[in-house]
Amino acid sequence: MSLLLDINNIETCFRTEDRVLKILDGVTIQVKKGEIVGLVGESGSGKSVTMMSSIQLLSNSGKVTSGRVELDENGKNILEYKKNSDDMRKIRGGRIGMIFQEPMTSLNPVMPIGRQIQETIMEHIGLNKEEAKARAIEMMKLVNIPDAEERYDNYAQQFSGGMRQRIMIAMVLAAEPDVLIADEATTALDVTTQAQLLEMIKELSVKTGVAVVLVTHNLGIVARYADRIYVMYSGNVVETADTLTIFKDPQHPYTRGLLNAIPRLTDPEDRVLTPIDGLPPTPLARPTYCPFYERCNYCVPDCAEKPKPQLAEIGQGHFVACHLGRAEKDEKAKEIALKEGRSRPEKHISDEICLNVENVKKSFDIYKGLMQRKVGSFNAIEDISFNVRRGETLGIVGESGCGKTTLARCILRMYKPDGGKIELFGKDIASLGRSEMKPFRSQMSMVFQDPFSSLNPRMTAGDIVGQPLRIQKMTSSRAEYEKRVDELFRTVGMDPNQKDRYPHEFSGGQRQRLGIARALALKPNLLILDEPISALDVSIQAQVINLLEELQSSMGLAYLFIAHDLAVVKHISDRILVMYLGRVMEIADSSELYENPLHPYTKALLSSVPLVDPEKEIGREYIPMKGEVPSVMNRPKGCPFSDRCDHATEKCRSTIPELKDAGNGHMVSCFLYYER
Amino acid sequence: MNNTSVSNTYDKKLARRERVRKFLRTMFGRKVVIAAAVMLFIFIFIAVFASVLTPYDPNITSPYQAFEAPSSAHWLGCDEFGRDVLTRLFYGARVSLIVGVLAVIIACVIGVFLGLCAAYFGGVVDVIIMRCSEALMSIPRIMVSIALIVIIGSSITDLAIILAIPTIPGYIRMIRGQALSLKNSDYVKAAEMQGANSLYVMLTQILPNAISPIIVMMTQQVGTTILMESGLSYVGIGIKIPIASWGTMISNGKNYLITQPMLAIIPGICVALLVICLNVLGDGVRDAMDPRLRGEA
Repeated sequence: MSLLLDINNIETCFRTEDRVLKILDGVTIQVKKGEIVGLVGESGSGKSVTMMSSIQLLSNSGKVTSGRVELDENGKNILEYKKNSDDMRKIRGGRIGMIFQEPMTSLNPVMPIGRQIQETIMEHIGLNKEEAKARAIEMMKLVNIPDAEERYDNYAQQFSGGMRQRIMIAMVLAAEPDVLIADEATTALDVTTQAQLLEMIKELSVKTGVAVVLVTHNLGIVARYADRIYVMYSGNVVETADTLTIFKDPQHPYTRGLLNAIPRLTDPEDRVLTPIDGLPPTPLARPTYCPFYERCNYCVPDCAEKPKPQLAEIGQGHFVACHLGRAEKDEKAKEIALKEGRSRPEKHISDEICLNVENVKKSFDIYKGLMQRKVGSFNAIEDISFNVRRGETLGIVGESGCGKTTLARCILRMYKPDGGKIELFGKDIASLGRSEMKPFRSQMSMVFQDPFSSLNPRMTAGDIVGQPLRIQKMTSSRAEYEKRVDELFRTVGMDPNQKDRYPHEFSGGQRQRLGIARALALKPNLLILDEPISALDVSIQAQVINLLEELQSSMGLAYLFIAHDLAVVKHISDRILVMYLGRVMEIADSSELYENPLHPYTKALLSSVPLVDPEKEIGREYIPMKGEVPSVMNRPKGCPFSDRCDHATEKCRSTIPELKDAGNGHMVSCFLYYER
Repeated sequence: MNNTSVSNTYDKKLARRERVRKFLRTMFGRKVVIAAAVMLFIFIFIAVFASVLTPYDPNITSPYQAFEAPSSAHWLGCDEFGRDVLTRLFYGARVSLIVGVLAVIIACVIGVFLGLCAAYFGGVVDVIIMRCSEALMSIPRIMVSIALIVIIGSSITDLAIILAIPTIPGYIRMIRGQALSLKNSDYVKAAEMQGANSLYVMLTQILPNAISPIIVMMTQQVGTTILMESGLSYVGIGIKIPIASWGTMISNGKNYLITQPMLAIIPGICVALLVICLNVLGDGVRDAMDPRLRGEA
């Protein structure tokens, strides 16, 4: 098939105040008609910059300094067009459309969305107003927006995130482009919405013949949806092949490293994640030799002598930029396998109940108007009951807005629950006051999601880690305090000599380690981890997961692991609790839950998660979920899932099913399993 | 063991000295900040040693010298009562600096504390503090000051307090806005979860991150306060005649703006210079307080 978009060896530089940073170091990407190409890499690898460069969307400080971008193999380098020339604008939007991560900022908030689509059509296709409006409605129907005619005059903020992204797609596709670039377009969305959207993009690609470039850091997404994959690292493409080959026979050490670092739903229970050590080089300090050399465990000293490896074809359409041949790498792989042979740290789960939560409720009031009058309230969480044993990890999964964080804050007593019991080693803390809570503070602590906002930027790392010790006056002398802080640094694998540095001098992974060290300062028994790794890159995620597992094993900690990434939760948890709209849907052992999900919601949720294994994806059933997650404010009267469930009966719609044991400690709240 | 702890404290001392050095280096990284610091030092020096620097008394009038032109005896000439202008300028620096700086410090401490409380506790506390500050803001500054002078008096410290009060709402509003957004950040939550009390959270977690705009505001307020004081003196209720302040000198000089323009212009230049110095220094301090700009590495 003929080439549609040919990005050939482009280099892009960004000018900062005093130097020029080379962000892209010769990137070649080819897109054929009608195919879906995946572009994966960690943050800062240059994925987005590549696509932006190709359509000249870079900010003023960025410039493509060499290379060619061609459309249709017609020999015309489109980089030669002026940035804002008519020719370039016709290509941008007309031939190549792009959707971004943040649908809210991409849509004009003061113009009805229908009008925005209409304008695009008038601009690029040249239809008159009425025709364009008809076509806009057609496009909205194409991307499955219900009641397209009525919603034509709605504004962006009247739509949910998923719907806004659909509108963006409709707007881009309305101009009938040949290439659609989706730059992390589904990253900000929930798994089920993400699956809905990507399924739709795939369908559209078949239906309209548009080629798609999926720019993402999520290997699962490309495994499930892409035909061909480019792997980027530090401004270079290091490997490219069709999807099956990349996952079955990865040849670049970086690709192998990535695949070894991510947890999968299909993993056996004793799988150990192998993180890639170190950090990617900054564009400023990128070496002249292989940029992956420092982190590579296949490398030979020779690699540092030779110039940067170029992409070379080693199989049908399989290009790799590595000096080592297949035989050398296989040899080395055996060696590495022998050397590592690490097993998962042992778990010590005792029968002692560490945390017992019974029927916890929390509602929030809604205030409105100038006088902030109370106009109503909604229950963020209802009837939550579960327990965690000492040394155990309980995973909590659910989509955004399901009440995970509210629950965590209730347990930590940031909020006062409206009812129910929260027992910490048998003592109910649900209604204690601030000062009564103080002695219990040392027994549990929290690790936050965002490693950038969870550390006070004005305090040194040592002060941050030691803060709980100072607050609770746990150490009697200065020397003892310093000793304890040093010890905490070492516990999380950091050098105590870095105590005097400030948070901004650390990388994301290191900051998260500091967050963990701070949480461990008071020797707690229970650690609540609220999405502790979702802000980190794949290779760093594995480091933190392994650290958490080691700490649990050596200190006998109980974890409450809150996350939306089901593969990660599956990997780290012993038991998993599934939440939906503030209620518990299902609790089961993690392997049991994945092998034998009972609740229709759990089933749909699991089928939405891409597997990072294209072979297993073939023929895998995808259970599409109807509609969208309703807001907790208009939760259905009966079972919260009843209006999206295929099995819902009259009973489901009128009464709330209780959480009941369906055998083997597998608890589920669904009428389907009551009578059996 | 003993050894390590010794080397540890040694390291600590070294590290602290290093930090101070970095602080100063960032602060004085720009030449203009050095110039401002030197300038401010000169002003302070003059204010402190006014009585040594000049042979004249600032307040004794000698009518036959009225409006005398600058000469080797009177470098800047004499004013309408024959008092040496330079001498009055020196003594005026004392009053202006004390009133300006003291008023700003008083206002800042009270305003920042109330603002933090309003933001952190919210609810009734917030409503009370904010409504009161709005009430204060709705009355013209000069009227508040006049009313207060009647109640409190008009010595130098009284004046500082009086000039501070109408500026408090500005600090409250500014710090409250900053603190409201910081109060929900994860590190504040973390400290609360560790069992920290409200005062600790406000002072160690929120305040250091909210202080930058306050410092800039303070440096600007010194200038405004000095001008306010001169305004009050102009109406005749500020610093009691014959004590010299830059404000009184400007307002007196205004009467002779056409014939003897220098009488008002020279103290005016002094006020302007002092305000510029403080602004530049304020910027320097703000930069140096931010570890990200300090370039700790």
